[in-house]
Amino acid sequence: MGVCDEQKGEMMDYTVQDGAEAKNITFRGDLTIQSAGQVRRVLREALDSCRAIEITLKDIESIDLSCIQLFCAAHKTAFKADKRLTLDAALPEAAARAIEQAGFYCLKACGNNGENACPMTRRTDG
Amino acid sequence: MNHMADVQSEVYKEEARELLVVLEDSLLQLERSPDDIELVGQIFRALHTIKGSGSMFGFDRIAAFTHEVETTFDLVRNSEIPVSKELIDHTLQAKDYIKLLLEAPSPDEAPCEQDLKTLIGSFNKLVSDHKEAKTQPPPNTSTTITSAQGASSSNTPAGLVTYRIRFCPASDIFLTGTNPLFLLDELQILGECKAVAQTNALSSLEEINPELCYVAWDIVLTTDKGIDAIRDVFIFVEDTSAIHIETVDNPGGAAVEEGYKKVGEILVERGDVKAEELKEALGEQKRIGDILIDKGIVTGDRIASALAEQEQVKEAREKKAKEEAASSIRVAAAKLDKLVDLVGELVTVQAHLAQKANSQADPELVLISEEVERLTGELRDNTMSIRMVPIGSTFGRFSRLVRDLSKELGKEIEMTTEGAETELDKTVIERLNDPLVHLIRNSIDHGIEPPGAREPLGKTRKGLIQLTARHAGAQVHIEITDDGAGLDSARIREKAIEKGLIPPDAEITEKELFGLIFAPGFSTAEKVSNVSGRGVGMDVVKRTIDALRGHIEVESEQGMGTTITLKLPLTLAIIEGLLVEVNKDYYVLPLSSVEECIELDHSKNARRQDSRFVNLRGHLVPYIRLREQFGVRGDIPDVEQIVVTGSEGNKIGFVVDQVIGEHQTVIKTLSRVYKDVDSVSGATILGDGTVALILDISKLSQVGRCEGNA
Repeated sequence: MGVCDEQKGEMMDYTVQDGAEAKNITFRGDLTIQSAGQVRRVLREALDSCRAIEITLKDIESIDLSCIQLFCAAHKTAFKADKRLTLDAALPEAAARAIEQAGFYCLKACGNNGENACPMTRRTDG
Repeated sequence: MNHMADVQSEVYKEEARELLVVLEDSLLQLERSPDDIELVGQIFRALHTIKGSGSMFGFDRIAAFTHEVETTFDLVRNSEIPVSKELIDHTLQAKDYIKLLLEAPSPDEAPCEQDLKTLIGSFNKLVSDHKEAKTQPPPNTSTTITSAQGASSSNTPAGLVTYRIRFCPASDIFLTGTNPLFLLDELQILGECKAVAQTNALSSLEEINPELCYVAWDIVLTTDKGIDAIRDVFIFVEDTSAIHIETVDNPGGAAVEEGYKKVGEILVERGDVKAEELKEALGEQKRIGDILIDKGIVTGDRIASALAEQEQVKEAREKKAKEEAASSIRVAAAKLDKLVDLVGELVTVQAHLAQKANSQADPELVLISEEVERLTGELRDNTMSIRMVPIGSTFGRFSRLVRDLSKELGKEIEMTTEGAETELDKTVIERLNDPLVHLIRNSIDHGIEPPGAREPLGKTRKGLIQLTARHAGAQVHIEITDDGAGLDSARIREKAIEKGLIPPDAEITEKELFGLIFAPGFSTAEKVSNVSGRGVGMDVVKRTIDALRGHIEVESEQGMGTTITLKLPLTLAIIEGLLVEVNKDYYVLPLSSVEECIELDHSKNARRQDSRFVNLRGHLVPYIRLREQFGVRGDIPDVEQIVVTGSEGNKIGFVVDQVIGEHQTVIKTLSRVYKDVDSVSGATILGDGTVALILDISKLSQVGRCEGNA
C-alpha cells in the first residue's frame, strides 16, 4: 500500500505491516506540510484499528514541523486511548536534528509515565 | 543605508573575511584528513554563521548562496555524502565566490552570475549523484551532531546576557510560507540557545488541522547581541505572533544574584505556577517538578524549559568566568596607528625632558624624569606589542596557493609551516603577503620538479615547501625552503652577462651571483608561464623587502633545493639605530646592519686621502663620506669614524665625525616632498628637538657603487 503525491514534486510513501504484537508503519520520502494530511490519515487509521503501533522513519528524507507535531498529537491520542505508539530509534540524522531543532526534547506534556515513552524523548534519553 | 547600518555591514564583512580564512584552512585540512568529523563541523559552522549573519545584515545573496553550500555540508556532516576531491574543489570555489560577493560594491550585485549557476549546479549534482548511488541508509543514524549550538558557543564573547523568550506563532504561520524552525535557527546564530517546544495546544489527531501550527516555544538564549537583535529575528512575524522577551541573567550587570534560581522560582517568575501552589508543593518530599506535574499544576514541557533555563544560566556564568581572562576586543587599525603616533610624540617629549632634567642638576627633577622615562618605555613597548600579530594567518593562505598551483602545473607538493605563532608588526605582515606569494610561486614553478623527474633523482614524488618563521634578536627571519632543483649558477651567470649585469670575466661569489636573481627583468626560465618566468616579481620582492628595512639571502644547492631567507625588523614603527654626527647634523644607521666601528686617522692615512677604501684585517672595505653625500660643510676632524655595515653580503663603511651611540627611536615618515630622496628612509626627533635622518644603507650603498663605477 502506498501513496504517491507527485503534483507538487513532493513525494511521500509508506507501508503498513501487521506484526505479531504491533502494526508497523514505515514512512519514506519527504514528510512535509504537503504530505501532512496524508500522514495524519494514515496515523488515524492505524490508531483506530489496533492497540500498538510502531513507526519507522529511517528512510525519510526530511521532516518538517507540521509532521513532527502530528507524531506528537498521535502519541497523545494513543496515550489517552491507552494504546501504545512508539518510534523506531533509527532516525536519519536530518530528521533527528529537525526534531531537536524544533525543541521536542521531552514531550511529557502528554502525561506519560515512561512506560509508553514519548517517541521524541529517544533523542535525549537514548 | 544609514551610518549604523554601514558600521554593521563592515563588522559583518570583517567577520566574514575571517570566517572565509577559517573555511579555506579547514577545507585544505579536510582534504588531507577526510575522516575528521571535527573539521566538517568547523566548515559547517563557518558556512552557517556566514549565512545567518549575512541574512541578518542584508547580504541576502551571500546568505542564499551559502545556504546551498551549507545544505551540501549538512549532508556531509550526516555522513550522507562522503568527503571527496570534487566536494573540496567546489567548496573552495564557493569560498572564492562568497569572497567576491562580499567585496562587491553593493550587496545586491552578483558578479559572474554564470559562475554562480555553475557552482550551484555542481553542488546539486554532488547531492543528486549521491542520492542515486545511495542503496542503504547510513549506519548509526542516531549519532548526534550538535551544530548551531557548537557554532555559537565557540564564538561567545564577553558581555553575555541570558534571555527568556516565549514565542507563540500564529496558528496559520505555515500558510504564510514562514517556517518557524528557521526563526529558531536564526536565534541559534545569536548565541547559546535552547528551545523547548510547548505542545499544550496540541490535542488529539482527530481535532487538529495538519496545516495549522499548534506549537509554541520557551527559548533560553545567552547572547551578547542585545535584545534588538532578538527582536529582529521575529521582525516578520511580530504582528501575528505573541513574542515575549525578558532578561533572566546578566553576569556583567551591576547586581548579579548569588547562586541559581530554583526551578520553582523560575516557574513562579514566568507566571506558570502561583507562589501558593509552589509553597504547598514544597511541603512534600518529591522533586518540585515531579510534584507540580503530579498535581496537574504545570505540564512536563514547562518544567523541561525551566530546567533548560536554569542549566543555561549556570553554563553562561561559568563560561563568562572562564572567558574573562582571555577576553579580547576588536579595535580599528587606524586607532592603533594613532596611538603609536602619540606614543612617538611622547617618547620625543620624554627625551627632551630627560635632557633638560640632566642639565638642570635638580635631583628631584631628575627623579621625575627617570620615572617618566620608565613609564614611557613601558607604554611604548606595550603599544608596539598591541600591533604584533602572528604570521600564521598569512602562512595559512598559502596552503591554497600551493594546492591550486601544483594542481595546475601537474606537480605534487606538500607545504609545511613552522613558527606560525611568530609575531610581527601588522603592517609588516600585510606588506609581506605579495613577496611571499612571488617566492612560493617561483619555488613551485621553477624549483620543485614534476613527480616523474623527481623519482629518477632518488627524491620522493611529492616535493616539499617549508615556510619557517622565527625570532632572531630584533628581527624575524622567514625562510622559504624547497627541495627542488636548486639554482643553476652557470645559467644565472650566463644570463647576467647577457643582460650586462656583470662583465664576462667578473669574479663574483656564488652568494653575489644568487643576488642577481633580484635584478629587474632577470629570469633564467626558458618558458614564460602564467605563473612565473617573466622576470617580474623578484625585483618587486626585493624592493618590498628593502622598503620594510629587511634583507634577502639566498642559499641554494643544485639538485637539492633552495632556501630564501627574508630578514625583517619586528616593527616598522621603532628602529634600533646607531646615532652618528657629522658637523652637528645627526643621522641614524639601522643597528641591524652595523657590524663594527673603526677610526679613520688622517695623520696615519694622509697619503690615502682620496682613497675610498680602508684595510680591515686584510680586506679592502669601500666607504662613503656622509659629509660629501649630504653636502655638509665645516672642518673635518683629524680622526673620523667609519661605521662598517653589512648589506647583501657586502661590507661598506660610512665615514662620520663622531659615533654617539645606540638609539632606539620612533620613526617619522618624511613628507611627500622628500619622496624622491632614496638614501633616507625616515627621520626621528631627538630629545633636544633636533631632527636626525634615518639612512637607507642599501640605497646609499647602491649610490656609492654607482659613483665608484663612474
